[in-house]
Amino acid sequence: MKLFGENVAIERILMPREFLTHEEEDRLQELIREWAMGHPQQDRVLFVSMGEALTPVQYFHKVREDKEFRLKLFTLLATLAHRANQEPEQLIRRAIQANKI
Amino acid sequence: MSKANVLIIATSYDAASYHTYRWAQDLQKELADRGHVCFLLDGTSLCPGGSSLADTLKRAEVVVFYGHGLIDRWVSLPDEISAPGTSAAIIDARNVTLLDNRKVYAQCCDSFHILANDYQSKCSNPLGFVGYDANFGFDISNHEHFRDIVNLAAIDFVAGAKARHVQQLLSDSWKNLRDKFATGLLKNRPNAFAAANYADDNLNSVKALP
Repeated sequence: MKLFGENVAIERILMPREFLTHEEEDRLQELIREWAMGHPQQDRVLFVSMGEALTPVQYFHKVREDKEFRLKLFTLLATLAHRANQEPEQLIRRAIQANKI
Repeated sequence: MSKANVLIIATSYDAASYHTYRWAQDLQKELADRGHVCFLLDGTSLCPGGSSLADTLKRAEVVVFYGHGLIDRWVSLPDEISAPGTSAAIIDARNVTLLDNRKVYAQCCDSFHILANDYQSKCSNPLGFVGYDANFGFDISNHEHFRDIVNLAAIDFVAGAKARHVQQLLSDSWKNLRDKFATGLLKNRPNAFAAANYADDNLNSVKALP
């Protein structure tokens, strides 16, 4: 049992905290929907890169429909949040709050 | 600090390039204020082999491009509306040797692929190429923060920094900006989480030759 316990502890250290559960991913996606739908400039192009210009609502649709984009975004948010001893959803909640200012 | 002749080519025809064109104007002012000679050409009026491009390049030691790029070109005009719908190039394989003996700062998506390789292989004296091998992106609500990183690196490059040094400067700056938007001083800015993601993409795709 002790060995098992040690393994679990080691696994926790080795397991990158950026791996989110499906429930956590769903929660982040729902928060991004809330951010987009409450955005004061929800129909204005705000996010640009080559060949792509997205409004906040389109950004949410991309998160919802583009799995590669979604996983990369969520992994980054989780990594950076955990590095600062925060939860990834705090990053999106701050953006939701910023929409209200 | 050495003084250089700089040619900035910039395009403006959509939301992204509208802003980067203004970054280019800001860069021109910054460089002129530092004593450099700095031309700013509207890239939408240039075509490969055009006399104004060749004539101006003869007077430039550093060439800076702000606009849209593809893996093999800097784009002067977007895709034609009818088939085959190709974009027009300012610089591509046909005229990349115009960049010989010049340092190149490509502030656009993707051109670090084939165009940078063409620059390295076809020019007899390539002096350094800084660019991106994937998408370059930004959040318009926070564009000043992205502009400052891009322009400060360009100023360093013009002042004599090597391409590898500028790449490192850009990498450090994008990482710092990403962390500021995520959990640092800029965490309460609008769209901060999305801005952090764009800064991270830029961090991962900035490259340099030689």
